[in-house]
Amino acid sequence: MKNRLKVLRAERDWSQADLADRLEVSRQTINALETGKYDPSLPLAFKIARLFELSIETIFQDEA
Amino acid sequence: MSETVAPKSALKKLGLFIAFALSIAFSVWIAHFGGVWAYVGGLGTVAGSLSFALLSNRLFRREKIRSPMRRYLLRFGVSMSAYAILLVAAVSLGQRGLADGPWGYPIALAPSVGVLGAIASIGFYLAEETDEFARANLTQSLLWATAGTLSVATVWGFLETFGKAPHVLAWVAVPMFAVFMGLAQAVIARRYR
Repeated sequence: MKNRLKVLRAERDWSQADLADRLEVSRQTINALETGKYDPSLPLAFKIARLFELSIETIFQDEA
Repeated sequence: MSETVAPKSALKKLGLFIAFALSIAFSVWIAHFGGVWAYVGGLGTVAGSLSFALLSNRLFRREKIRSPMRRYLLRFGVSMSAYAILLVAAVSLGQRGLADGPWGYPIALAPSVGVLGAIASIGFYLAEETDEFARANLTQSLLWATAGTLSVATVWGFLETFGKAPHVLAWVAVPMFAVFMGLAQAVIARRYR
């Protein structure tokens, strides 16, 4: 699944580690999410959306 | 990461691995002397393995170890240290013929307490880890290790049934599971790099 996490993170000048701290996950998780290799669970997706104050659909795009 | 860093990091990795192998070899050599040295050697292998895990994390991940993993390493380290001590004690008592009577049961069961503790520590980690990606990866490697161990046990068991393979003690399942898990984790880590 495509997502805009890397762009959103860059806009705020956060490192992967910064974002990981804010979401209480590891940096590996952020890396796997940004590269689209891992899709988050619904609770984590909501947490990400709340952090960026955006809707889930504006962060994650379904390719189907 | 810049290109100049890569060979240096590979060299560090190799150095760390050699240090780990040497610490294990040294511990085994020390244990050879018997008596107290057997305990020192046993604990040395546990200490060597744990420092390898901690140092490789510090050198290559550049990230603090999160608290569920810290608790896991502590529990696992305590369990494996207990295992090393209990195993050496049980073997030396057995060699003196003390495992023959009814006392043989607690002596024979003692080493397994440490191993059961180590198995439980993985269960606790899985329950306490809040990072869903880490949990998913661990679950996947546990499933691969289960499949690998069951497959080898089945094939070996039938070979043994028909007299085509020597008898292997059942506790071999745990180190075999650990090897499969390590292989699976290496493959999974590569996939998400």
